[in-house]
Amino acid sequence: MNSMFAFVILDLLSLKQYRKVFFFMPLLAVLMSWYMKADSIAAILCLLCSMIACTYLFSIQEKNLLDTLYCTLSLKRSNIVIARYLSVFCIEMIAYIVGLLLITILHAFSIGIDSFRGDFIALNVGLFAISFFVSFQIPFFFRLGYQKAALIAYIPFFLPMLLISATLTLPFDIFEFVRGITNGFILYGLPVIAGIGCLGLSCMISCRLYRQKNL
Amino acid sequence: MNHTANTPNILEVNHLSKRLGTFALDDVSFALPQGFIMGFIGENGAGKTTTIKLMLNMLAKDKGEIKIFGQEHLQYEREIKERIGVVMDSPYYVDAWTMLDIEHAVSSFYSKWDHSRYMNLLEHFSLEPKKQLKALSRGMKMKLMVAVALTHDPDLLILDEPTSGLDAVARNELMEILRIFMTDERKGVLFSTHITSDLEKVADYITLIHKGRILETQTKDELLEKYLVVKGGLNLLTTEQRQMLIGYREHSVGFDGLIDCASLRHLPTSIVTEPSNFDEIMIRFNMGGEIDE
Ligand SMILES: Nc1ncnc2c1ncn2[C@@H]1O[C@H](COP(=O)(O)OP(=O)(O)OP(=O)(O)O)[C@@H](O)[C@H]1O
Ligand SMILES: [Mg+2]
Repeated sequence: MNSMFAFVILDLLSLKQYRKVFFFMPLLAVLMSWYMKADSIAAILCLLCSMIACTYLFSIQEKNLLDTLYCTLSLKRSNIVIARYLSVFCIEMIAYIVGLLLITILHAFSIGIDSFRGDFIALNVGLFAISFFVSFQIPFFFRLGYQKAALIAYIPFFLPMLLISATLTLPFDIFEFVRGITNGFILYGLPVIAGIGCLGLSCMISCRLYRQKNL
Repeated sequence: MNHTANTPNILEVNHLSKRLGTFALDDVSFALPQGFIMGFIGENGAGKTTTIKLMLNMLAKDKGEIKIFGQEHLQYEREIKERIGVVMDSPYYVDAWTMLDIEHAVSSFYSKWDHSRYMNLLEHFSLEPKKQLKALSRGMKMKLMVAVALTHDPDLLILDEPTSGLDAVARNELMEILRIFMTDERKGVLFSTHITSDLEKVADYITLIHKGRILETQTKDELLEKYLVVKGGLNLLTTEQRQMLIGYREHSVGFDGLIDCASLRHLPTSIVTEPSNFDEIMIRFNMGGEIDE
């Protein structure tokens, strides 16, 4: 367990060169929200940023031959994979918390026109969407490496984006429908739990793929 | 140097096989007893890095067994890796990291990581801790990897061409460090290299690999005594005798080749013999001869 946390620290350190970009993002998010008069934009931008950070982990890993480094450390192959998913989860959670802070602050200054509840739902559904995308991408990254996988791995990003932009309110409608029939506010957490489920499933697949890989 | 009977093996490879495309590592076996340095030599593409990658579980073996510290290397992977220091032939840290970042990144994996030792090693190699990796020359990167590999006081060092890119002074320094490392007789070093003069200074054992197969694995002195370089006039040898030579080569005034001492008695007494060295042995085997398939 200890070594997995050590690996998460190693992962976050590998993003060090991009830290300025990631600090700059929330600022940009606020500006865009303010300009477009929609607080949820801030939250969504933070989540998108976290997704980019997750793919950077793999790009940096490939560019710097970090697979070799991992194999010299006292970690089993499957633990490397699980620890990488922990890193991804950490990054998503940071984005979620920053997103939540942003919409809270923006609402305090009542910049947006949506209700806080609507923005919060957008944040949660957004988190699910991001978890779903990275869950699809990561096994490809583990199996093929970043360069080769990049093309395939972005397909689900563009396809559903097209679909979603065509039917922008669909996730919200589904969400409201489910909330309506179960009649409970606990359901705000449902997208988050479903997102974690996707990551878990994806992790199991990646473990299998990475264990066999020649590095 | 025959202490091997009662010292345990720190590293043991038995009947290891691995196919990679057209290349195959075939039935590789050797053992390194505790307290010794083994030089691992062979031509480019002979399979040195592949063997080392198999030890580190970077590749999955097809057949065979690898034991490190007497334990099966996959079953006890974590425990074993905490006790080994590795240097591979190309650097594997994030370019943008400073040497201090590297310490932050890897130190938590080792219970015996020693900050002051790391700083001392960096100073010894004249490396500035706050410099980024991308600002280092190749030789400096190799030195850095050696420093990282030594900081957690490993019991076994696995070095894949650690001297590539190092100048004569730095190579000498590294040999000195290995000598100091080996004063503790529970340790061991596996050291793959092209620069065989380094091995003449420090190695106790030599393993010679050629096209994925082990040709020789024995003590340095035994190996040097086993093979002799022979020379003579053009018509001195019969065809049969020529075939005994490894890497037989004719030139305008005569021939030369390598001979296993055991076969020397089959050659005419007028033949000239000279002691061999590792380069000579490697080159001759590469040229072909009796052992080549
Ligand atoms: N992933 C791979 N797929 C196919 N062939 C491979 C792979 N990795 C290595 N090889 C082949 O295996 C052979 C041995 O390579 P290896 O790197 O072990 O040689 P080496 O002894 O370390 O050589 P060098 O002295 O140049 O470092 C080479 O012919 C190489 O082409
Ligand atoms: Mg090599």
